[in-house]
Amino acid sequence: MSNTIRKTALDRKMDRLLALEEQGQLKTNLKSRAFRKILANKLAVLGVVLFTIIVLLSVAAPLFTKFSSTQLDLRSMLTAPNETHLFGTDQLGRDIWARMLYGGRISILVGFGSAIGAALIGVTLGIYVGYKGGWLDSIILKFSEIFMAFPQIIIILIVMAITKASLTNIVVIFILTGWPSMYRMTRSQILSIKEQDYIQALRAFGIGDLKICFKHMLPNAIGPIFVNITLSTAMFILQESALSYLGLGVPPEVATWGNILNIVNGRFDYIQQYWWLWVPTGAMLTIFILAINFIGDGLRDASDPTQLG
Amino acid sequence: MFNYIVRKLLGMIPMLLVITFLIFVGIEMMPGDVIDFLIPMDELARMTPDEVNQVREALGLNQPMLFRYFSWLWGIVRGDLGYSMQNSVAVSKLLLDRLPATLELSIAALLISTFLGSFLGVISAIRKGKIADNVLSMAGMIGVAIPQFLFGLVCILVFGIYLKWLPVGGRFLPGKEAFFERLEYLIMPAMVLGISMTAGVMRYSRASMLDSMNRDYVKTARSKGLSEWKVNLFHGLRVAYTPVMVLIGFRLPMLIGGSLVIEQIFQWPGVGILFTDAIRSQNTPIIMSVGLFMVLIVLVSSLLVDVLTAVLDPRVKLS
Repeated sequence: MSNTIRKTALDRKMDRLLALEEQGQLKTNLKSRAFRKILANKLAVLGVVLFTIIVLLSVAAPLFTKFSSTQLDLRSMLTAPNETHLFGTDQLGRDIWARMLYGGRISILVGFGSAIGAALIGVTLGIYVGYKGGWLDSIILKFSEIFMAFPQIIIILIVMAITKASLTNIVVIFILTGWPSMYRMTRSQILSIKEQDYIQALRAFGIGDLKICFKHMLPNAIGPIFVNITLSTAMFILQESALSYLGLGVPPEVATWGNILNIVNGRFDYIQQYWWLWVPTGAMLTIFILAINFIGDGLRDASDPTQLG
Repeated sequence: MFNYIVRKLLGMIPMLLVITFLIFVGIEMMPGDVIDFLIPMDELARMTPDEVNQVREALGLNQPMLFRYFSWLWGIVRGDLGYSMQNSVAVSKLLLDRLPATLELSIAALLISTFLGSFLGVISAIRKGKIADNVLSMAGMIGVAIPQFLFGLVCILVFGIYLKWLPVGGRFLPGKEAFFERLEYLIMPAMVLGISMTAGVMRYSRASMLDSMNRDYVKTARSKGLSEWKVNLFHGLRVAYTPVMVLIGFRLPMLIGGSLVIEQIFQWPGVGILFTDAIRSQNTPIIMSVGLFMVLIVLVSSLLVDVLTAVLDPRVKLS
C-alpha cells in the first residue's frame, strides 16, 4: 500500500491552517461566522469602504464643499474643473461637485427609503400571513400578482400626474411596486420554515402567533431579506436615476444623481464638449451601485450556510 | 398539462378586468382631461363653456365612467381598439406603426442577452476560480451597476461621434427602409440594451450552473462515463437553465412596452414613447390598449415560464 496520496490545493490549505492553529497564531476573535465570512470577502470589504465613503461625503456634504446645490451663478456657466469648482459648473453655473454630494443624499435616501418601506410591508405580510395561511393568504397573494402584473410606468406617470412630482411620491410608488417581490420571497421562506419541528413545538407550548412569527421565524429568514433589501436599494437608485434622467422623476429643482445627468439628455453638444457635466456624476452613481452589489453578494454568501468559509 | 394551461388562461380574465379597470380609474383621477391637450390654450380660453361641452359630448366624455369603461371593453371584445382622441387615427393603426420598431429592437436585445449571457455564464461556471471566470464575473458586476442610459451615452459618444462607425439615433433614413439599409441603425441600441441585460443572465446562469454541477444527477452522469461536455450540456445546463428561463420570461413584457430609456436615448420610434406621450395627454384609448397588451403579455409570459420550467426540469410538476 502506498502512503503517497496526492495532496490537492485544498489539502495543502488545510495543512497550513492546521499548522497555524497548532502554533496558536490563528486568532478567531470575531465570534460571528457570518461576520468573519464577510471580512474574508475582499470585494465585500471594498464595497463597504466605497459605500461608507460616498455616504459620508453625502451626509456631511457642507464639510466638503462651500457651494450649495441650487445656487445659480450666471457669471460662471459651464466652467471647466478648476481650484474653486472641483468638477466645474453646469449650464446654470451650479457647482457640479456640490450637486453630486447633495444629490447623493436624495438618491441614497430614495433608494434606502423605498427598499426599507417595501421590506416592511412585504416581510411583515409574508411572515404573518404566510404563517397563518387560509383565505387571507390567498387574497394577499392575488393582490401581489395584480401589483406585479401592473405596468410600472403607468403607475408612475399616473400617480405623478395626480399628485405632482415629488420625492415622497416617487418613494411611495417604488414601495407600491416593490413590496410584492419582497412578500413572495419571505412567504416562500416561511412556508418551509413553518413546517419544521421547532415551530410545531412552539405552537404546542401555546406560544402566541405574533411571537412565533417575529421572534422565532423572522431571525431564521433574515439572511435573504437583508440581501434583498441591499439589492433592491441598488435597483431603486438605478430606477430613480433613469426616471429623472428622462425628466419623469423627482422635480427638476431637487438635485439627485439622475437629475444632474438630465442636463445632457438629448444634448450631444454638451456630452461632447463638457465632459464634467456627466462623467463624474455617472462614475459616482456607478461606483455606488457597484459597492452596494458587492455588499449584497457578500451578505448572500455569508448568510448561506451551504457555502463553506 | 393541457388542463393546467386552460385553467391558467381562464384565471387571467379576472386579473385583466381588475387591472384595466384600475388603469381606467387612474386616468379618470388625473387632473384635467384630453380637451386641455386637444385644443390650443388660447383657443380654449376663447371658447364658451357650452362649446367646450359640445366637444366633450362629441368625444363621449360626458358619459358616466362605468359606461365608458364597459363600452371600451365591449370594443376590445369585438376587436376594436378605438381611436386616438388627438387625431382620430385608429389605435390599431398607431400600434401597427410603432410595434415593429419595438419588436425589432427588443427581440434583437433578448437574443443577444440570452445567447451571450448563457454562453458566458456557463464558461464562467465551468472555469470557476480561473482567470476567465474572474474577468467575466467582474465585467458582469460592472454591467449590472452601470445605468443603461449612461452606457448608451458612452456608446453614442465612442461609436457614433468619435469613431463615426454607427449613426447616433433614429431607425432609418427616409426612403432607405430595407432591412440591410437600416441594420446599422439597429446595431447600437440593440447591443446597448442587449449587453446591459446580458450581465443579469450571465450571473444567473453561472450561479445555477454551479449549483447543478454539484448535484447528484450530474455526478451520476459523470460516473456513467459520459464525456465532460455531454455532462455539462445535457445534464447540467438543462436543469440549470430553469432560473435563466424565469429571468428571460420576466423580460418578455418589454416586447410590447419597449425600453423607454433606450428608445428615448436613440430616438427609436417605438411603443414606449407613444405610450408615455399618450399618458401625458390623457389619450385614454391608446393608454388602455397598450396597457391591456402589457398586462396580457406579463401574464402570458409567467404562464410560459411555468410551462417551460416543467418541460426543462423533470423534477417540477405543474399543479
